[in-house]
Amino acid sequence: MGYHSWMDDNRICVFMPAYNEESSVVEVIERVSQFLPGARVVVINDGSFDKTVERAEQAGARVIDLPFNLGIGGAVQAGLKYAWRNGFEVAIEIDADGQHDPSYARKLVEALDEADMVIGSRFVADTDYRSSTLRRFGIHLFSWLIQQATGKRVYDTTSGYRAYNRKAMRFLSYYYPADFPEPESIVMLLLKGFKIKEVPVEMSKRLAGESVVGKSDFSFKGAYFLVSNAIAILLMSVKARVYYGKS
Amino acid sequence: MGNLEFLSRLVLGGAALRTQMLAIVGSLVLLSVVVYLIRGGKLKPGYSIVWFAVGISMVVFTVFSPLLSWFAQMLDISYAPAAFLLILVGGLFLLALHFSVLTTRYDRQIRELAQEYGLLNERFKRSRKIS
Repeated sequence: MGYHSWMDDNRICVFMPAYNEESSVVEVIERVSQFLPGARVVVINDGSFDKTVERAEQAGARVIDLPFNLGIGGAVQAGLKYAWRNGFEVAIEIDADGQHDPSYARKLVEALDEADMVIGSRFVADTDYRSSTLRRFGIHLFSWLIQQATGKRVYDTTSGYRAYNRKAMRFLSYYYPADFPEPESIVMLLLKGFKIKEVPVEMSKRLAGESVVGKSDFSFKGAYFLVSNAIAILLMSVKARVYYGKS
Repeated sequence: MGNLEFLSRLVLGGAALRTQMLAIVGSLVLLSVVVYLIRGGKLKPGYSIVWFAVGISMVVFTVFSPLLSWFAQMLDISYAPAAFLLILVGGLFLLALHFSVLTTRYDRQIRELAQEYGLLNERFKRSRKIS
């Protein structure tokens, strides 16, 4: 039995970046508290203009209220800083839109025995997850590009369901990519010698909101997301070898 | 060259001279605007160095036209004013890059500041609740 499998929940911080998630945030907080009863639940309010903050506080979560919208990268980094500075052993990142099932959270924590960051993945095992053609192509492309850049295969490169140990928390508190954070952070961590593991999870449909890529097979926004992420992966594979080496 | 001859060449003929005068005036106006903005506190001197470099090199190349011809010859450009345009475009490219670098730095600083604000505000609210 590994170190993380018997860890007290009060050494775990679950943070969720939220932007206008008033309709789903309460349910996600309650489900997280159901599966990790002692864990600290923190909502990173990323400049919402609805009632996300009030609902989250009423549901018993702590709220970091960012003064304006920073985007997913800035919000995730704020959560990592919070977990790192408050001495938590494990930080779990989970979406506030209800897409990630908190019942898998403990599996993610346990997998930290063998890795610095664990990704809740839709693709390492057969799950019921189905997505658009463009999204599937994008995910395969990112996975292939990351393998070319780092020599290691990661299947679910865009999943935002992740667990971090203190080593990864500390590094990412200083350096976290702002624009295309999910695939970029994988490249960055792998090239800096961190270990990443994927654990199969089921992802349900969002309780609210819509994905950037959209539901249809093709959208210009989706195509832009794909191209810009691919470029970001390539640029990060150059940057991580030099820039982060100075730290 | 008498005054009348100079003016007639400037107005009626001698397109190269007219272009040269226009470029000199343009460069001087650019430098004056930069100085004016610095004096009014609207432009930080540290950020105006690239503007000065571009303005001064424009003045130098336009006043000393043989220098421009020499530069054009070096690059195998048969029409000298085209070399001037190349210098101008190069300068603007440098400026755009300079401001992209600055924007990147500010982007990071603003993000860190907003995160610190959020984290401190959470601690402040919590300590007020406790006390």
